[in-house]
Amino acid sequence: MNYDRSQLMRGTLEGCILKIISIKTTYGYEIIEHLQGFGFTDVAEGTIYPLLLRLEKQGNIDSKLMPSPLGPKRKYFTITEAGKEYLSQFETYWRSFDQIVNRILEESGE
Amino acid sequence: MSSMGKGKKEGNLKLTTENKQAIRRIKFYLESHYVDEIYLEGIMSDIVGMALESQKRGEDFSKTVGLDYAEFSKELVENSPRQTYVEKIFNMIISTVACVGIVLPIMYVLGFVFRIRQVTCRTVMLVAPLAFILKYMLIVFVLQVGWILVKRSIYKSQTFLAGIYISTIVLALIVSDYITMLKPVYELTVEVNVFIWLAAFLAIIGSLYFVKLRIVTLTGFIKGHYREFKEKRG
Repeated sequence: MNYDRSQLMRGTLEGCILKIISIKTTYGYEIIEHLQGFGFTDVAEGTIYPLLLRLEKQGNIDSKLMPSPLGPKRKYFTITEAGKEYLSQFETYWRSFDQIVNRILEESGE
Repeated sequence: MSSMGKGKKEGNLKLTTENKQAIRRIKFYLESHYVDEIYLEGIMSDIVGMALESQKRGEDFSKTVGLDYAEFSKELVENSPRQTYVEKIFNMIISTVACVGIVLPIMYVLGFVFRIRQVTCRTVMLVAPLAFILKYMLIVFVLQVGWILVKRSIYKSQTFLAGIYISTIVLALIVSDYITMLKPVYELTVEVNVFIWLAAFLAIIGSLYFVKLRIVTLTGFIKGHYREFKEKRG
């Protein structure tokens, strides 16, 4: 039985998206390109769109419609102060989580 | 909000048939799960934009979505605010009044075009047995409720669904026939001025929308202040 990556991704993708948005104001497809560039090759716009909705509902990001070279107006996202705080907490928890999991995985059982 | 709506209308003119169908199914699913109406408009505008951009890039929209459309719709519902109980009740009342109220004007128009045995149209007056009118109001109500269930099951087997829907309408026809045979319903005849009827039910629907908007705004205002109050109290 193959390991289901989607569960692991669900918990971390939100933080990764928030980090990308914190670097510069950006839009959905550009976020996907960044994620794919970092190695999340099977992430699509439909995967992150519900997460962007949730982040906006929580007040962690703001959105604004701006003209797009491809035709219809595009939604651009920026991080809010609350989002920066949320991101900082995610980074702290992730580093701690990462250390714990690595220690367990390195455990040889002898 | 109006610019988003305009963008969506322009977008709909350029979407491929396949993408339009996919987007319509997503919209039906979200509507049937009572996603907040204003939020839904924003979501649909975003999805149309996503579809148009994927077309411009020469990509398949289903690949842009990544998940299958049913899964994508479920995720959207989970991450969207829902209508309040007040909105749901008012919307149900409004659509019921609209569906039921439209029966008489339709009968009036049909009465001029076809010879309907039980219906007589004299200038602006429609004359018909009460039983006949009640029967078709009940059928229209069943159709309307069934339509909500059809939208909710948009990703399930459509053949099976069509079977259930048609069976329910046939059952409603049989039951309504039985009810309308009961006295005194069977013996009464109704004479209605169709234009006064139409004006009255449009006024009722308009009033219901107005009251709903007022209650929703007031509820939102009270909730917002209550939240602030709780945060200050810590």
